[in-house]
Amino acid sequence: MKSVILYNGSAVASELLIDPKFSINGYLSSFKTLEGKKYVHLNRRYFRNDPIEQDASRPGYYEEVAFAQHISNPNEYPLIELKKDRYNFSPARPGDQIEVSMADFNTENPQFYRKRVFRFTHQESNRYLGSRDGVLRTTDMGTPDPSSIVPQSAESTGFFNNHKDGLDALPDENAKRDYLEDLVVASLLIGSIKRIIFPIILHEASSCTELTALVDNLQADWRTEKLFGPTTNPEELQDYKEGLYNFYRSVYKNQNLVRAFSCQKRLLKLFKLLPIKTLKTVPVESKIQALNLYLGDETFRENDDHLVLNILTSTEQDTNVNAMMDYLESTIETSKYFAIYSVLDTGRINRYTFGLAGEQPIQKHYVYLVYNLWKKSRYNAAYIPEGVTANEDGLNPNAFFLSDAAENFRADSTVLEFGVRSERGPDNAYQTTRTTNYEPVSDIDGNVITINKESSSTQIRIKNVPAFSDGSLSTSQSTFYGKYHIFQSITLIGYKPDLELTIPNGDPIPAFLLHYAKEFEDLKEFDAAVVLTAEIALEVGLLFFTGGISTIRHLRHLRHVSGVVKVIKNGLTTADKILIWRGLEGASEVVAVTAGMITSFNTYLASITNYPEERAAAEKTAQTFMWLAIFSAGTAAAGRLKTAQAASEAIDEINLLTTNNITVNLPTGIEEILRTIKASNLLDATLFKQTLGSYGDDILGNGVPNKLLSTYNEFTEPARIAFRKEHGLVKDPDFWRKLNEEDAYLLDKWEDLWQQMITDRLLPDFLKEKVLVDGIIKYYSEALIRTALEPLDNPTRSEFLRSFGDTTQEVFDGFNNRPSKITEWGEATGGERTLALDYDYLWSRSKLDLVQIRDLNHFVIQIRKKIFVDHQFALEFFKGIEPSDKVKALEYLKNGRRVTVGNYIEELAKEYIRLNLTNTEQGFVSADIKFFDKDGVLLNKSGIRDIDGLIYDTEQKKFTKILSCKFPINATKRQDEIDYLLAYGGIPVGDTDNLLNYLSTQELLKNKSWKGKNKSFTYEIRMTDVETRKEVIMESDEFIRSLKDSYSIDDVKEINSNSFETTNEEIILGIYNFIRK
Amino acid sequence: MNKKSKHLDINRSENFNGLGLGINFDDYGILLYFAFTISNEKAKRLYEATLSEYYFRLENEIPLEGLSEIDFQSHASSSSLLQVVEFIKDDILPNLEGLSPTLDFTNTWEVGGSLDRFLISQGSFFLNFHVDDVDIDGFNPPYLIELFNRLLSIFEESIINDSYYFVRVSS
Repeated sequence: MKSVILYNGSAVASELLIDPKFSINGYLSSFKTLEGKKYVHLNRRYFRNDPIEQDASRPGYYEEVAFAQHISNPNEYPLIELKKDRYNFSPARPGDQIEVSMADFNTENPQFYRKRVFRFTHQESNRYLGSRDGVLRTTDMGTPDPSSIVPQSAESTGFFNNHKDGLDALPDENAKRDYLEDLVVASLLIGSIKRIIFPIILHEASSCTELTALVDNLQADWRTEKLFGPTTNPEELQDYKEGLYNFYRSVYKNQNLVRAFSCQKRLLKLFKLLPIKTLKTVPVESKIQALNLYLGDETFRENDDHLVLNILTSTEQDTNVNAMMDYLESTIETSKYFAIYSVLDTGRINRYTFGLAGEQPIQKHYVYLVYNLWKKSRYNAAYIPEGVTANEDGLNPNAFFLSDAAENFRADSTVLEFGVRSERGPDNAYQTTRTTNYEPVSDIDGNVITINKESSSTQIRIKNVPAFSDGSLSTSQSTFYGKYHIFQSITLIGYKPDLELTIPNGDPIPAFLLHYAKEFEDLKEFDAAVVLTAEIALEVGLLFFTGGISTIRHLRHLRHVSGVVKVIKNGLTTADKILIWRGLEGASEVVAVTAGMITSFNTYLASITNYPEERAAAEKTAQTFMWLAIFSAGTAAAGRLKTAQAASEAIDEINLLTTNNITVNLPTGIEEILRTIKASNLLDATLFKQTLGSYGDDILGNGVPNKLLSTYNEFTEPARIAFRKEHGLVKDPDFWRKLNEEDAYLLDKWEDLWQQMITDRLLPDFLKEKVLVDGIIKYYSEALIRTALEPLDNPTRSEFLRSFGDTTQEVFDGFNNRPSKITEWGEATGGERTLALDYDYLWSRSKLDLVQIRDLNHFVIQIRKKIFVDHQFALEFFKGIEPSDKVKALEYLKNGRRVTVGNYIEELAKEYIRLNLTNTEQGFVSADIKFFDKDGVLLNKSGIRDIDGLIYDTEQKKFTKILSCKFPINATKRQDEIDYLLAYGGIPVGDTDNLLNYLSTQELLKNKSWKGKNKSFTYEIRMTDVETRKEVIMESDEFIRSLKDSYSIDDVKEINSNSFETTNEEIILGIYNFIRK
Repeated sequence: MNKKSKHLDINRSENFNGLGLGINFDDYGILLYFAFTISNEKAKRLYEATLSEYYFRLENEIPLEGLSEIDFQSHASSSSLLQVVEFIKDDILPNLEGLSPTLDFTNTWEVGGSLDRFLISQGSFFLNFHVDDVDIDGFNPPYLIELFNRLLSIFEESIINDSYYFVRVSS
């Protein structure tokens, strides 16, 4: 008796099974019965996608017609009915002969379809499934028959053979085995689709010519085309296999429905099998119907997110783009755009070769693709389609918002100005920092996005205000800013500009992009992923390098990143690699073109002359086309620049060779293209020179000579090209006037910026300011400073340069020695930045951070006030520039009889002590003693002699440490601090006579005088808590209890300028510099 | 914020635990101004007697020769103190004793809100230091008598022993 093994691992009798088919893993997958009924194995995924059915269904072998009836009409043919259509096998008996037919994955010699057959005797106790992996254990099955080739359809075999060389590139046996398995399964699925699915799709469809043509095309592709390669990314094949399987299952289980579908609907079903290249030929109306089906039919939607992306990607021509965008704009309850967005899977995909790099949410791909369509649509008024003449504003006169839908465009506030601004009030008394952000409000309503404006403002008093301890005032509010049509353009300004990007500086973006990309990084990606637009001579270049008519086929073959990387490794320099990678982040077709270019180029090089000169010329030529290919996509001026440069260099090489009588074997037409590219560049250049030279008095100012052209002419050629590309289109007269001033000083400096790759040069507003330009050249000349300054965003960096661009050498040296100061500045608030500028010398040269500078400022404000208000004559010290005056001024500042200099350090000490407290410590400064008479009247408003600092231990409930602040006067000894503390603690409490006696005899207190000393009756200690910065009062008895019996000199810690890694002289100088301002 | 005042210690002992006077700068300003109302010239001598050599040189732009704020030795020597002692004994104390004990100097002089500004406006040596305006009310003759007597004792002892005393400014 013969037996076979089922999916569940059991062995069953097989005499009654006709034409049994096996899965590649050896399980029985289908068979017929004597009556001619066909049973197939169906797992749960074949059942209806409804939770109850999913729960109640059982995998098994079902009669396929009955099953299809159930799926198409579950009410008439419920699941319970289906039970009888589930085949009941007879178990195998011991001694039966089991036959298992499995695929033979021979990676050494892969052939399609090779199988091996195991024959062995069933034993009752045998288990055939591995307990862990549930896979048949061939080890127990004895030796198989020699493997044999089983003929398959031409499509299956063709697909297999076209892709089996992908094995060669894989690193190890496991990867090869996995790849081979995926390839075999995909090939078999293709066979099954041809055999089982296409008949369903084409059922009574002879009139559906579009459908039959597509099926024919697809079959031809499978037979002859290499869809992946040259070296295949295994994951992509795996994806393709999954796609085939999903398609197979989806049509198979719904076969009754599909047979009843209209031509159109079947066509749509087929869409998801189509490569994008083929999908491009499908009319846009069909695609829109597909999207409608996707939205309206949950069954249809299953696993079809890729279809949405494919449809958008394959929509190219202007008219199609507009039709697609119109569809997305149309609204039933909500816009189609948002409706689709909402039902897309929120998961991520990483093997989608077009669009964005890396693993990204599907929704993001979607938004990105719509953005690409938008750019080329009538919703983007700035896009001028071919054959349309721009209106006088440079806009498309047929643009959506200019013609039929002007009322939808909110015109009054399309510029959203983000950012941070700081300004000082009158007399520099306070600084206000305002931050503005915009945020879209939740979901899109119809096709309207609501955007709120978030404004916050912080005001800090900075001058002549003694009590600015907590003197900052912050407010924040979010207000309605506007409602925008999702496809209307808005302009973001100051959106933390990144100079590698074009978006932030005024380019319009559609409002929906802001809805998705709340984070700037997201916007950056949208911009970095370049769009496909045809550029000059690209097709001709391809024709040459890929051997004529086969171009299109090559494109298909060269889809894979890994392939590109491989050829890059063999042929290009490091710098080029990066640029190619940027290209790769763009659309897949760009990748393909690039890979094709390079591959062909390498082949070409190998086949031509061995003369190195000639090879160099060819190399340059090929690079021209490579850049063209990469940046044909590019909106980026940089791309066009590269192309022009490469063309220019190639021509130079060719000219050189010709001069030396070496013939360059460039095919006809290629050299012409190179010369055209160079010439068009030269034409631009000539026109630009004319423009530059034409600027006269009206722009440059009356009588100011034009130095722009002569300065520009002195640039090297690459610099001229670069400048023209970067600023050639700037119309702002102020820009040209500024650049022309002082013998075109700033224009001249632009070349330095360009050479040093300082990207700020790209901003016209930056170039206009001398202090910024000079400053950045000066600061970037120090590598450490550049490293610290470069990561700041542009407005912040500009603000820094405005503040410190022309600072003193000493401050500059300070930054060079402590570049971390720049980072600190970048993170500082507006008020702190003001302080940094005021105290530039001190702050840049010491470890004092801006919080500590703020503390110091509390007191210095008072010193300055004293000098300027009460002590007019001292002004001369500070205003004078004579060295002797400076000396006098410095003496003034450290003269302990003039200013209460102890505060210099005590204010800082508060922060220093606070930062050094342990969990069980409290810190106090300025502990001083206050006496009261019998009536409780305070006798001495000023203290007697304060203790600079005390540390209170909350566990020991004692003052455990004494702090002595010594700056800049060192007038006390450490022992004095102990002596005074103990003197205060020794004052008798509660007996007037004793107390007075003590005050008049105690060694330290007897010499101290204060009004009403002889009326002293009780006392208390007042001090400032370093954490709350508030005064606290300690009654005499509590104070006495809090003292230790004795203190050693080690209990006294000094805080001095060393504690802040600076010197007395530095602090005095810093304050001097501040006061002079 | 707890407003701080500078302190002036004048003492016979280098460790400031001998015969001495310790007051804050507001008291110091009042004390000098009272002397100033009697004689500008003599008050200047008195003022100089309250300076350490370091501060004297600093204020008179004499080379410091290594002196700093921690060098407390007095500028005045016994010989120059004779006039100061006479000034206190013959002019200041008799004047003070003739005044009503409840007289309030700050009111009488119409000092206003800032003693510091008041003193600066007098010119002379008042331009060389600042008081801190922490406690400028309630000065009466008995308190000044006490302060001047203490000063007198310090100066007299210095003359008798022909030695320096010590002046310290701290805050």
